[in-house]
Amino acid sequence: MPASAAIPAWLPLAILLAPVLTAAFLLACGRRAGHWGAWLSVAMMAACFAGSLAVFLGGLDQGHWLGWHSSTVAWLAAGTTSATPGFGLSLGLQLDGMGALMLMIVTGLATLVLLFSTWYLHDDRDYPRFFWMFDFFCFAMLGIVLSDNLLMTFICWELVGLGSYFLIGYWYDKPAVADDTFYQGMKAPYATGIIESKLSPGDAQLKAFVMNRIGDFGFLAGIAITAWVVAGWCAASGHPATHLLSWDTVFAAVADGAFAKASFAGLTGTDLLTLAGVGIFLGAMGKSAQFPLHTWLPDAMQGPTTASSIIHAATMVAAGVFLVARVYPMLTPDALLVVSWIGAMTCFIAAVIACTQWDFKGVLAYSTVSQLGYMMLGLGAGALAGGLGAGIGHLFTHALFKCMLFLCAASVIHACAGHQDLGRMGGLARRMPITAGVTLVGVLAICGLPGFSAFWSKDAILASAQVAAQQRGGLAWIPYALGLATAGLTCYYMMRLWVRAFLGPERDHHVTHHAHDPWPRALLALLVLAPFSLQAVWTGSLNPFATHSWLDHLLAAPSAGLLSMPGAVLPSPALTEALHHAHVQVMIAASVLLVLGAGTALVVFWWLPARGIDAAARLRQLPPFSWAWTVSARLWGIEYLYDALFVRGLGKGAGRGLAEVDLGTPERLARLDGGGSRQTEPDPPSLDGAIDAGTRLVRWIGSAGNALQSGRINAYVGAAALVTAVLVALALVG
Amino acid sequence: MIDPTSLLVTAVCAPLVGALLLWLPPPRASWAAGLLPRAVALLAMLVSAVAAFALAAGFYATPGADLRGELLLPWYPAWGMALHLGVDGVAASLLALSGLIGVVAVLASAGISNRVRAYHSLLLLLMAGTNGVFATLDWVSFYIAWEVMLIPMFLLIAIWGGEQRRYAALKFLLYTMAGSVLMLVLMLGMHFRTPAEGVRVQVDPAQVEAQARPDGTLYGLRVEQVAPAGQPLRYEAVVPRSFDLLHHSLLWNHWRGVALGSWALAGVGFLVLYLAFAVKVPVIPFHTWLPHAHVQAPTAISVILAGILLKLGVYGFYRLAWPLFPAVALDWGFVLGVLGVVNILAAAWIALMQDDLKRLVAYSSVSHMGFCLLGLAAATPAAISGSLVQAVTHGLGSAMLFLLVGVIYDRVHHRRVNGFGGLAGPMPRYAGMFLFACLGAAGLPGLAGFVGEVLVVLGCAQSPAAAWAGHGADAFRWLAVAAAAGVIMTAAYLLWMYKRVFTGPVRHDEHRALPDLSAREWATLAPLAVLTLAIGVYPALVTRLVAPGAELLARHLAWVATVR
Repeated sequence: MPASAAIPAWLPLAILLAPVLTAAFLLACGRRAGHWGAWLSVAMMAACFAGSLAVFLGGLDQGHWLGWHSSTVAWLAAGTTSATPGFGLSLGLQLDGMGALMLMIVTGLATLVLLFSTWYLHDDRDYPRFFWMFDFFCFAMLGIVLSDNLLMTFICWELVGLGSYFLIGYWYDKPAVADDTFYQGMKAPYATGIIESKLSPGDAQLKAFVMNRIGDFGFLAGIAITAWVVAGWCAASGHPATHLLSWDTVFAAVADGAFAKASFAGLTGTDLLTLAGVGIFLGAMGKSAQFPLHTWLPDAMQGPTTASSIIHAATMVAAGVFLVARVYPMLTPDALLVVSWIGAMTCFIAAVIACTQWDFKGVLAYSTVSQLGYMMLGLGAGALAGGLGAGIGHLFTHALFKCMLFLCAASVIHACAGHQDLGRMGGLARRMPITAGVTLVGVLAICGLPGFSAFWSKDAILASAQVAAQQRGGLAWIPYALGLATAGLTCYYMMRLWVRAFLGPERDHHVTHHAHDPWPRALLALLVLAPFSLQAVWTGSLNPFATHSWLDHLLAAPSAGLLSMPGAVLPSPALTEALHHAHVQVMIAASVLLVLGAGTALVVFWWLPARGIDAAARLRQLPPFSWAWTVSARLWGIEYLYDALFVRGLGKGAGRGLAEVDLGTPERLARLDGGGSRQTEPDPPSLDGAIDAGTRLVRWIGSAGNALQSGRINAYVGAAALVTAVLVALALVG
Repeated sequence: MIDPTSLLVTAVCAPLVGALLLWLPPPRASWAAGLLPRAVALLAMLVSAVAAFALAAGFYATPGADLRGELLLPWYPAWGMALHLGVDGVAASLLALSGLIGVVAVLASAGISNRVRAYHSLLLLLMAGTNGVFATLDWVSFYIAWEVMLIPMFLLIAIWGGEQRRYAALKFLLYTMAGSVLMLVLMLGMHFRTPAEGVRVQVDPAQVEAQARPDGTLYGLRVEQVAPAGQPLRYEAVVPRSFDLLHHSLLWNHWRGVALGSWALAGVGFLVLYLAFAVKVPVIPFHTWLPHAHVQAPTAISVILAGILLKLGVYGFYRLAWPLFPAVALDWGFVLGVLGVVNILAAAWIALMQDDLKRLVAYSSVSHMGFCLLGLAAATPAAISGSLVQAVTHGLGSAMLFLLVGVIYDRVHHRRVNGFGGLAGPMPRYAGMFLFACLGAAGLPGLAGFVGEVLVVLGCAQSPAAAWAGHGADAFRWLAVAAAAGVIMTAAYLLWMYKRVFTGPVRHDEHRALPDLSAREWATLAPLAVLTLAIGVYPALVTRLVAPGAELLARHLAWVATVR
């Protein structure tokens, strides 16, 4: 385990703590922290980026990244001094190539987004609040990246969720969109998506937090199973249990077959490990908005667009992917199969929905869900099919171009005075050419045009998925097929987005006539990000068909034991051959799909409308397309199902039922609280009612036995004394 | 450095002295009616709190499972009656919590204008009772302290409560008395059925190791090392007839052989103690007094109720039910764990649909206290530590929530969740503190609530208690998974309530001009909030105090499982 000595021990800790200290300071300053607070944040984050760069370069050694591990401090300990099973939970920081790169990307993007926000939110009423919330989020996100153990990851996991909760609810007093006349006035008759959504920011933040908690439940359960098995292993093998959940200890226990000796729920050995892995993956599904926990992310777009750009597009939602990569040595082939199926379903389901969204941010939101599914599909292919490198590679390329696309969306929404309905945009390319150009770069990047970044990273994912399908056979071809289909859909909906917004005639003069490119410092952020959409940046080669990347070497280094499984990133020679074949096939297929998807969008939304044919409206009524349109526009019915099943059924319905069994009906409670109407008919049975009936019996006995005494309390005390005396006598005799 | 005994006596007696002072006829000055009682109460509670914190600081500085501040005053030696004071780290931390809650409650009572002197006198008496429960190690004074706090609480609700205060107060009284009367019977029965010449028992080496004095005595008894033929060395002692709880804890095996009717006395005894304390915790189905009491009680009394009184139940489990009848606790461990999980999940579900803010917070208390029972049942060092940490941190968190509900009730005179909306606009600081308290209660990492929950869940997953009780070895792991599901419901009911009260546009015009938190309200909230954050970031503040005691109990239970 080579470790880098060129990284000062204090630096990563300083990078972690600077944002939270800044956040605390700005929070304490309140509204006094006006514009200087914003610029303080930008400067702090830029310094963090410089530090991250120093860390990254310090660990670099001939294209590899050496490991780095801080000292650890005890945080929670119980029972470590005795023979009974106990554990110690410590905190520490650890980096490998993936982490060091992620550190740079998080701080770098955060700096640019903060810079952009100083323009985007400069006349917002609660401007200073945004910056402490954002800094707090960055702290938690960096904590996930730097964590050296499962528990600290879980802690920071919840805290990024809190940061997201804060920022989604930034405009806390905004009403639900359905009640908002401003938004209703601008709504197109066929509008679907966020504009149609009934959620207010308050609703959206609640939904995001609770949906994430469903995933966190699995995460916590997975941690509990892991901690139990690893503690047993430590006790049996004499391994110190003071840092029980560190990656090193957990992976050593896994490698030593610790799970083979334990059993839970009828599962043992690898099956038990699968269960723990799937539990942790459930947490990743929540954060990374994987089907069936994906529904919170599109609603999270109620937050400021700049917050969406980094939290709900580039970093936090990618934390799930990062986590899966982190615990990769724990994931069994069965667990990876689950990951690949969930990823494939997510990427397809979300891509279908994105095709009919009429909200600029809505398209991007579902596109993010879809791309996160891609990453999971890649990771699920398994290390031996090159899936780990592919999934992480797409995580990084996607982070940069999706962040940029969201900043473009922010420019467009700002230019259109808060409107985000694609139906009212059009012709914006003439008014804001630079934004249009940068957006096009992002669109081409996500579509995977040769020469652009996703051409390389998406290709790697699909090639890995194909190899995995060959290895697994049978039904395992379905995830690959869904991934391929999604490639075509992605090109369609992204090109549709760009064409509707930037080309064609001006559809609503009211909305677009003030539009212009943003201020220079915001433009700077866009222009800095644009080059990262190019493939050459990632592969280090101008040849678009080069499939190897410097990233592979960076990740492959046996750094600090994290990703050091044999063949984890660089596949064996035999598989290189299979991967090469897959690459060629996938490149051809993806290029055909690119032409088909983007071409259809261009024809339907640009070429035909320019000739006076509203092709989109006609297609919406033509049977096979109309069915697909309904499925897509109704979001596959998932939201309606959840509302009926979980919100109204299992949540409110069951809660009301239990409450009435417990304390009784609202009428009974109103009466007991001192209001309500006179009782006309007996209450339905309830626990509290039954107890009242019991006390009435006691009261009757008490009043019968102590008829001379009138005071109620005296009666009870007397009765109690009497009963006591009798019982004591019995106890003495018996 | 003041010696621990003085600190302990001060912590218990300061409120008592304050209460008695307030019984004296007051001077005829105008300030004597309102200001004087408040000042006396605040001073008494501050003295008590400072003493309790100093005592707890001693345990923080040198952690250990030993008993400190012991005081033994013979009372009626013929019956083995003696006043025995003393605390371990668990009792010390709960005593410190009690002192803090007492100070906060006095500050939060500023709105009381009716019979101020009587109110504060009763409040001090109540706090003297709760402190007494934590401070004592003999059953007689434990019982007296237990009853002493009952009547003041009854009167505080019945006189200063809401519209239906008498109904709620009576319900509180009947529930609690039903539990404690049986405990009195048990105490007397067990005392008089102990043979007068004493009982020779085997002693847990862990107890000797952790709690024996330097002179080799344990709880004042001579411990002998004996080596029966063919068996390993073991400790034995002769336990006299006494009311001392520590002596009783050595007799656990004796009571398993004593019959009461067709049952073993140990089983009946555990059931009685369980009922006495389960009412206080409260464990479903003995919880329905709690929502009524909270809804009717004035804010400060709710704060004491949630902050301290519920913890007495957990402390009773820890100090009496489990040590006196450990074998029974192990036999029923899984059932008790299930009851804990039912508390966690069912109460959270019920809380979801509560429209009264106080009732919602009351059910959240029921839900969170389920972790305490589950942790004790799981019987590992981590789980028991978690259970006790949860008792302390829930005291801080629920007190904060009830104070916050009181803040809005003082301003608008109702507590209906659906009668608010958009309060974050006019009252941003209040909204922030409310969110902080909700997140603390929801077990957000970095705040205190997380520490107890994660310890209980992780400790429960590795618990051997199910195997001890003869259930499948998996049983407690399922309970850990089920308890982990509580995180979903907790977030749902608290944040949904927050959303309806605070977000969106202001729904009622009369709420637009509501004043934000006042200085006095800040003073009550700030210490609780600071401690919540501090414990969440650095849990050792509490775990150093409670872990040794928890570990001793866990080791004792493990020993009992092997020798019984």
